[in-house]
Amino acid sequence: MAISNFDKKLEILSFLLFLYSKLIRLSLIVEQQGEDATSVRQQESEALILIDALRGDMIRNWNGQADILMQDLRAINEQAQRKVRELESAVKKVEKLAEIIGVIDKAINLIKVL
Amino acid sequence: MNRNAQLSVLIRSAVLIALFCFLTACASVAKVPTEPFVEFHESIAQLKVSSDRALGVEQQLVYQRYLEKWKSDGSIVQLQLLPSEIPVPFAMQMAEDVLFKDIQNSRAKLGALNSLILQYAQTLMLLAGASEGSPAVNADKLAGDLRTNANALATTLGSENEIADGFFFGFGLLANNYIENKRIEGLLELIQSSQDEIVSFSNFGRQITQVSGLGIQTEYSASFSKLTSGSSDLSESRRGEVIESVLALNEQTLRQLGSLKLIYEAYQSLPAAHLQLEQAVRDGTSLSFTELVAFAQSLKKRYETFEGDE
Repeated sequence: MAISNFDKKLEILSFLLFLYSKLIRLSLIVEQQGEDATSVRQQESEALILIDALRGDMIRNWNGQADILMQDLRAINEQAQRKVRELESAVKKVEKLAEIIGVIDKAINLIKVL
Repeated sequence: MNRNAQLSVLIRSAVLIALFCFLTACASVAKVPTEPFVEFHESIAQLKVSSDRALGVEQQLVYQRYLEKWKSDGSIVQLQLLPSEIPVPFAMQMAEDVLFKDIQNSRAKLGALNSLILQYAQTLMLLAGASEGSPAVNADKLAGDLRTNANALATTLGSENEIADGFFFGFGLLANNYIENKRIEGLLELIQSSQDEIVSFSNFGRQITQVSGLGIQTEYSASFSKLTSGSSDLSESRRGEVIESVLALNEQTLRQLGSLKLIYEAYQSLPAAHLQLEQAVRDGTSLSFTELVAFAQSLKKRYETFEGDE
């Protein structure tokens, strides 16, 4: 089970982040040279909005798929519990073998009394 | 042959038939090593704590950024909760998706997924005989009970033939071996049939950790931009403060990314660790240190060192 296009989106997110950090760097360089960096800062903000939107989209997709996986994990837990119950039942059967001899003894004693 | 003697022969035959059944069921007997199951469980418990903390850090950073943005932009209208178009009595939502809420949801879902895997690891421990309450046969007690009951029956039947103690203890041992074989069978079946789900879980853990890693990088860049914006016009002392803040931010970010990398690697190593449990059951031997255990211990150390810092 895989999130559709997850790897592609991850690649785009990485690239946007790379651009965003370059824009921040450029803003600083422009400011250091005593120039007006407003337009670069604006592009920086727009890049951040795009990054947030993509992060949100990826996380919401992941959240949706996680619900399906939860059902699968509940199923393996139920299967595991069944295995425990099977083992408990086998232990009880084995212990009963010893008890059977005792039950036969009690039954014979009862017959004797009758 | 009188009736009592006939009964005596019958009882001995019944016990011998039971023994034969056990013997056929116990062709190969090995003891399940418990240590790998305990380590697997402990590693997942650590992974659960660490991944929740890591997403918690990201959620808090995004929340702080949004708070500052709302304060400066004055766009309080975005915060209004609205009823949905289709009437839903117990739900309201914000007009736009808010990133920190999405992260909060994913944190809750990852927590739930981790809890389900932890529950699975606990049941594996129970099945492997590695925890209190694991189903098992007490061979000595079983042999003792059998001897007591058989002797009582012999007395009742007036039989003078004493059955040797070795016979009862042999029965106890075989019963124990029978249960151990059942344990091995059950574990192997369960581990094999669950492997696909463990792989899916591992992928999910890796994916959310990757998104969170890029999220931490984004928050770093946003903080760096805010801290350094206009820094060329600052006085020397103010500039010094900014540099100190940036260096602290750098260190904190690298530490968070380091933790996320370990969490990613721990999720990645999970399917192999799960298969190694199968191998341990087959071989009947404890394995050398698995990758998963190593990552989990590194995470534990990391959080102990930086407790309250991340």
